Amino acid sequence: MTNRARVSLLLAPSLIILCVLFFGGFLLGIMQSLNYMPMIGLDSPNFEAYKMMFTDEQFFQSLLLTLWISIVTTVLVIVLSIVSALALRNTFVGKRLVNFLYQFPITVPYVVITIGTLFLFSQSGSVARIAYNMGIISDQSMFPELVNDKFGLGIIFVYVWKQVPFIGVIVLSILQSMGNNFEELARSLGANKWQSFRHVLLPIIIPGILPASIITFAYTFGSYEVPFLLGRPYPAVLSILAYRLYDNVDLNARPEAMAMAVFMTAFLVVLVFLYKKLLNKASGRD
Amino acid sequence: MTNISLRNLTKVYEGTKEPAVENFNLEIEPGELVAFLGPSGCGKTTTLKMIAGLHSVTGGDVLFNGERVNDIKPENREVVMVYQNYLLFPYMNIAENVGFGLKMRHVPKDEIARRVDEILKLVKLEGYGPRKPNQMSGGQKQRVALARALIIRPKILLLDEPLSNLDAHLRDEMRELILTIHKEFDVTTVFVTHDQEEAVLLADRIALIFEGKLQQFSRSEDFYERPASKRIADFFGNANYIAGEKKDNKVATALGTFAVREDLKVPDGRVTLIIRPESIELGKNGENSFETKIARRIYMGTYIRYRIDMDGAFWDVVGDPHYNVDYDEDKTAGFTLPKNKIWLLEGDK
Amino acid sequence: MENVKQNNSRNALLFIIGLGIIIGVIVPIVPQLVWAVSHRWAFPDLLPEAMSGRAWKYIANPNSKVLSATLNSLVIAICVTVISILVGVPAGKALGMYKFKAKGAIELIILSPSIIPPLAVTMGMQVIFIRMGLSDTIFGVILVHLIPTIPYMTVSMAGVFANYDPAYEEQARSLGAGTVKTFFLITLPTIFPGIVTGAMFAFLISWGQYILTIIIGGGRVITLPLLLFSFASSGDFTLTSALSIIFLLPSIIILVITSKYLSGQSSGMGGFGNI
Repeated sequence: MTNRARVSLLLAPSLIILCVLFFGGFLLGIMQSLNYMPMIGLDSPNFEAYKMMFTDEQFFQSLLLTLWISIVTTVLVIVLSIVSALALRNTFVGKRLVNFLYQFPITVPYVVITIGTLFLFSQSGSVARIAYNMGIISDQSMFPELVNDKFGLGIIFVYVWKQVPFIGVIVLSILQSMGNNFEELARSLGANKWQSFRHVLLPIIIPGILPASIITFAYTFGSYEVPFLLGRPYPAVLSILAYRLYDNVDLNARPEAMAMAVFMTAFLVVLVFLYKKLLNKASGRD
Repeated sequence: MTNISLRNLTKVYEGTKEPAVENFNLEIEPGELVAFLGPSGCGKTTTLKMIAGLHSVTGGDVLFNGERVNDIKPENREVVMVYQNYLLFPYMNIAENVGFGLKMRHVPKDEIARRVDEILKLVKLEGYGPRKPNQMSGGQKQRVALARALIIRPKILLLDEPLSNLDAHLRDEMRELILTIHKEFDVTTVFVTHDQEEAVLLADRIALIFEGKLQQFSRSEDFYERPASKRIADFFGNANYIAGEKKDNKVATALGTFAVREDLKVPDGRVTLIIRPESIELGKNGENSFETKIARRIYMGTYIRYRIDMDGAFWDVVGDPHYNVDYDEDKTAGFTLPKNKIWLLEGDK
Repeated sequence: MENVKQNNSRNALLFIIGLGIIIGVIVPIVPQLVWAVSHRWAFPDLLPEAMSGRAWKYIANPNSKVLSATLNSLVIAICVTVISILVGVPAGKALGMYKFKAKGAIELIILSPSIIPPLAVTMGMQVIFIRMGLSDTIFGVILVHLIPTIPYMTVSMAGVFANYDPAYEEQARSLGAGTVKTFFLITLPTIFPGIVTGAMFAFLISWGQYILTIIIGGGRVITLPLLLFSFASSGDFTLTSALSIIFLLPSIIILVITSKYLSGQSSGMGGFGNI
């Protein structure tokens, strides 16, 4: 068997399933967003759904909230994962326990930590109770809104909790494979601790975690479950708005739901494209 | 120029009992080029990193020109380390790599550019500034690493296995470059290596280290001709041994009595006689000659090597490069041990 | 002296970060453990007024939907995992061990479901699923769960195969092992830990799915996450917590099994964001 035939055979099942389901679904989504669905008698495509979406103030508020949550989450995740990985690189008493717990969130389903966050940070949650018993607040309404709040704080907390170890484990393995030599070299060339972090460690870590960070950003941007339980009905993140329109008893709302799905996809595709472009530019400077 | 003194230097790593370096005492003269030689894991790199300040000192002191530097941070020591695998920062071009140390010292950009050009010229890499490390060959990377170290005019230059990663033909070139640089910059230089050839090629003096302890610190000739122990003799090429009884500058062995130099400071009694395979003469040439059987004749290309039967043990003898004398296997032949090439160790273990 | 001072501040920082990790990970899980056995737990009590096994009795009751939902979740997740292994291992081998034209494009196709939200494509798909009679069926749900799991399995196996040296197979063949023996004695043992890790995470991705299940299952295929969401929205904290604990069990088991592989296998972690 030639290599070409073998590779095709190995890849075929995977590619067929993904192409049929994923790209098929995507194509159907585009068609429906254009109100074009010959099999149910819709055969004159139009851009009504997109017009509706782009004139809908609710859409822009949702987009803003979604971007806010995804960007804040990603920045926090990158910072915290680097800090925690740098700490976990050292040896200390109880490191095995800390290491084990550090990886725990990777396997915990989003639903479980979402419910945990609700119980912990809601106005009747554990933190509020402790604050009340310590006399910091005298009524549960005095406790700040940390879940179902307008800034999506609870949502951000859940994403950060889940994603820090995911990126952190990658940072750890980068640190492990580069060893101490680069830092030592920088120190011996006259860099102080901060300079050797800033000019040597960071430029090696960041490109290593960017692909994974884009994946977590995309997940945060498009996921439904966490904001469903911890968000406000209005404004809601894009995925919730889209599903609400899709699930509407009025079937005429569906094209707009699909338009929103297409928009989200296009947005993320452009983001990945820009990232690739940036990457090529950075590595092909010469 | 800087002198380095190591006084009772000891390093015990966290979580280990055995010291990696134990009671290390050494004086390195200003401007000297010294090799730390030993098998891997002997503590030579640890010692180097303690000089650089990259590893903390468990006991003892590191002194530069008589001043204790134990508590001075690595970035303030003006001691630069060049790593074996060069460690060029992959995301910086060559010029940025070379200028790194100056940037850390907040030297103005135009001065950095000027000094980078200058030093790249010195290491024969003029015009390579805009390239990326992955576009350079091994020898070129090594030169970049040297330039990056030298640009900050360090007091002390530390090299980690400077020739090990290079092909044979590049080794000579790099050796010349290191010697030239060492002369030009007058910088006290210490390098570590596990390869005695590398040490002999480059160093003024060699510190031989086994299991964290300094064994012998002297010129390379001394390791060949006057090793302090059998183990040291073995580390520097092949050596032949025979046990005997010394009395009045003569050593009586199972194969006869051999005369030795009068200036050997070994007391009479049981001794081990040492001679290098290349020091043994073919044929019976008067004093110290004997006959024995040729057990093996090994053709080596440029010369012939013999294994000769020495009362149960076997000795190596380097034969004549011109093939004027050629002994056959299983025949008896004569050999001579030149008196001035014989070295003695106390005891016969 | 300076060294000592530096060490102290370094240790203090390590202590804070280490403690932060311990508290940050454990504390958000704790209230559920207490809620699951509490009877009444009104504000501002720090501990419940009384304990109760109500939630657990409900769960154990064969008439409740919990048992069937757990069974559904298990069946779906196991089928998804098996299919993902069957198609993901070969694809991972192709990507990890061979160089070929259009490799970049194929990698992009396989990675795209981890960038583009599956929610977005599943909504478009549902029309066709209804036509084909796949909507509201377990089989339909299994199919959509494959969208996030196959890319994950493929990428993680590509990482395993990239580190796999085919010379071992050649050595075995030259020592007289046939194709079948070589596969079972050499290839399989080498990649097995990678398959196990990948499979467990594929299981978790399917196990935690909510929105894909509800779009294609139409609320008729009831899985654990669906029950959890409906209890959580209804405000029955005791029952929600008990279900949440059951829901968490596979994660704990899997973490214990895989924790030693995790740190070494970052290359295949591209899909963990999807769990």
